[in-house]
Amino acid sequence: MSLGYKMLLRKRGTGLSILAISLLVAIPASMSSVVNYINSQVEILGGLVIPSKTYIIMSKNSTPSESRVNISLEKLRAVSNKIFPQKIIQANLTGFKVRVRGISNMSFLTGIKGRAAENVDEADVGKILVKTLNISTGENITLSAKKALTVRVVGIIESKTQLDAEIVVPLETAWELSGDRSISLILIEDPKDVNKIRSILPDNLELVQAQCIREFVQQTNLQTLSFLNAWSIAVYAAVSAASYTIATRLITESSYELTMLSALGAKKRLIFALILCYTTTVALIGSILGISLGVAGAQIASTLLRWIKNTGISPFLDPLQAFQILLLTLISSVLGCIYPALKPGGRCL
Amino acid sequence: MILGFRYLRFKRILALFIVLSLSSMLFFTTALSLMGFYRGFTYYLGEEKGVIVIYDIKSRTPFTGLVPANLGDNLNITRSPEIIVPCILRNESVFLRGVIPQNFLRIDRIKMEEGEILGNDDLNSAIVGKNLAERLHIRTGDKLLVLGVLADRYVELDVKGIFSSSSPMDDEIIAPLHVGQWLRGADYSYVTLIRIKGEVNQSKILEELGIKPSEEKEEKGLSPSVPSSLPLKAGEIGAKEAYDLMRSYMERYGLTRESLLVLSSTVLLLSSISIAVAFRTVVAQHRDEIEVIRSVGASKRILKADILVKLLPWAAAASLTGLLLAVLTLNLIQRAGFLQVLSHSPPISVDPLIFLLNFLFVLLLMLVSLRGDIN
Repeated sequence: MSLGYKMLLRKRGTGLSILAISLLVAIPASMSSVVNYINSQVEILGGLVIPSKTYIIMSKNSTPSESRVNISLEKLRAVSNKIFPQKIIQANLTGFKVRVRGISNMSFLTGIKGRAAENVDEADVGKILVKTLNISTGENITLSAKKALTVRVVGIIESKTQLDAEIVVPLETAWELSGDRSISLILIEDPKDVNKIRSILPDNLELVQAQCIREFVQQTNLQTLSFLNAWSIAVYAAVSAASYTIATRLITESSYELTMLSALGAKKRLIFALILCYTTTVALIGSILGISLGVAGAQIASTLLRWIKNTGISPFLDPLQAFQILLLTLISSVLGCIYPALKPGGRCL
Repeated sequence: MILGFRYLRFKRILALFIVLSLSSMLFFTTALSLMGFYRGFTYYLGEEKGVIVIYDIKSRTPFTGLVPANLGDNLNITRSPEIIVPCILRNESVFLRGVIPQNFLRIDRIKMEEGEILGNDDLNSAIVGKNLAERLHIRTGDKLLVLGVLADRYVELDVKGIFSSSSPMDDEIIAPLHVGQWLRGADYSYVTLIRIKGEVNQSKILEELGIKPSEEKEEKGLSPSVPSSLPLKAGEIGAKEAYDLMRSYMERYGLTRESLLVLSSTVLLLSSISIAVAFRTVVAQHRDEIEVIRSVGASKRILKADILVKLLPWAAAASLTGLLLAVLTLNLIQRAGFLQVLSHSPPISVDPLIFLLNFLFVLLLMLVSLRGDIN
C-alpha cells in the first residue's frame, strides 16, 4: 500500500495538482481575510458610538400599543430611579385616529411650549399633530376610545421623538379613556444593572434597548459572512471538479502501474484506497498552501495598496475559518475523486 | 473541421467541460454579485436620467449626511427631501426612508401590492417594500417597532401597505419625513438629501444654491459626519446627478466597475490551473489517438488547430452552462436571504461583457494549455 502510495505521489503531475487545489483554496481564504478585516473595522466604528441608556420593558414580540406589562414597580425601582410606566392607546379625535400616551410622571416630558399636563382633564399635544389638526394651546379637544373624554391642551411638545405626533396625558387619563388600568410599557433611563432587570422579568416580558447600533453592526457583518459562505459553494464545487480531473489524470497516467498492481494481486479496494489517499494528500497539502497563499496574497495586495494610495487594510484569517476551509476542501476533494476511483483500472472515461 | 477524424471522445471531454463550467460558474457568481452590488448602489437614488441630488459633501456615505430641508424650495421644480436612516426591525437591520409622500411620488413610481399608499396626513404609518415584507413576514395592518441605530429613539408604525418598485427601495420602509428625522436624531429642518427632477440642470441648481462647482471638495475617510457641524455652509453642499453621486461614493473606496471586474477575473485566473490540469488530462487520455494522427502525417500545428476547433463549441457551452448555474445559484442564495449588502438585495442581471470576458479567458487558457501539452 505504502509503496503504491509513494509511487503515485512521485508522478509528474502531482505538483501541478497541488497548485491547482491551492489556487482554488486561496480564493475563499483571501476573500474571508479581507471580509474579516472590513467587519472588524465596522465593529470598531460601531463601538465608537456609545448608545444612550434608554430601555423599554414590554411584552415579548410585541409593539408598545399591543404590549401589556405586569410587573412590580418596586422591584424595578431598586435598579433604577428613572422608571416611567406608560399606557398607549389609539383614540379618535374629530374623525382622525391619534395615538394617546399616558405617562405616570409628566416630568418626563421635555421641550414643552406651555406646561406639562397635571390633571386628568389636561393634555399636551405633539408639534406635528398640532400642525396637522390645527390645534392650539388652551383649546378643548374630545378624545374617544372606549370612553370619551374632553381635555384641555396646556402645552405643545417638541421633543424630536414620536411624542411630537401624539397626545400625552397623565396615566390616569389614559386609563379612563381605555377603560382598563393596564400598563403598555415601562421606560427606564440609565439603569444601574441591565442584567439584574432581565433577571427579574417574567418570561412574557423583554427588555429592549432603544438604540441598537451594536445589533446593526452585527447584522451587517453577518450579511457579508452569510454571502461569503453561500458563495463558497461555487468554490468547493470547482474544487470537487478539479479533484475529479486530478484523479482521472492520475488513473490515466498511472494505468501501467495500476495494471501491474492488479496483476500482482492487488484488490480493487486497495486501488480505490490508493487513489483516495492520493487525492486527500493533494487536497491537504493544497489547502494548507492555499490558505497561506490566500492570506499572504491579500496582505501583499494590501501592502501595495498602502504604498500606492496610502490607505491599506490588514487582512486576517481566524483559525476556525482556516480549519473550516481545510475541512470543506478535503470533503469536496474526496467527493470529487470517488467516481473515477471506483471505476477499475481507470476505465471511467 | 481541419482533420476529418472523430478522435476526441465525448466522455473524456466531459471532465474538461465540467471543470470549465464550474470555473465559469465561480467567475460568474463573483462577477454577477459584485456587479449587482455596484448597479444596485449606483442606482440607489433612481435609475432615471435627470434626477439631481442635493447632498452633504462632507458625508462619507449617502446615509450619513445632513442638508437643510428647504434647499431649492424657491426653484419651481419637483423636489423630494428625504432622510435615509439605518434601524432595527424584528431583530434585522433595515433602512427606513423618511419622505414627504406627495413629493416623493412625483419622482419615484411605486406599485402598491396591497394596502394603501402613504398620505401626507399619515403621521405614524409606513409602507414596506415587497422584499422586506416577504423576508420579515410583514402584512398590511401590522404594527412595527422600529429601533434607532444613530439615535436613542424607538418608533411604533402601522403598516399601511406593501409596495414594489423594482429598485433597492423594495428592501426598505417608507415612512413620513419626521419619522426618519426622529430616528436620525436630526432637527426637523434637516434631511439626508434632496432629490430634484425637472427641466433644470446641475449647474443652475448649484447657482441657485450659491455654490460654485469648483467649491465641491469631498473628504475621504470612514467616520460618518455628525450633526455638530451644522448649520452647513454653501461650500459643504453639492448637487449631482443621482447616478454620478452614488458612483462618486463608490469611487471614494476604490470601487469602480472596472476594479470589480478585475477582482472577478482574479477568481478565474486562480482557477486557471484547474482548467489546465483538466486540459492536460484530456490530452493524456487521447495520447494514443494523437500519436496515430501524428504518425499518418498531421503536423503539430494542424493537430493543435483541429483540437482547438473541436473544443471551441464545448468551451462556449461550458461558459454558458457556468452562467446559467451562477444565475441559478445566485437566485437561490437571494431567495434564502443570504445575498444582502447593507440590508439590500443587489439586482442580478447578466452583462454580455462579463460573458465575453469569461469566454475569451477560457479560449486563451485553452490555447496556452494546448501549446504546452501537444508539444
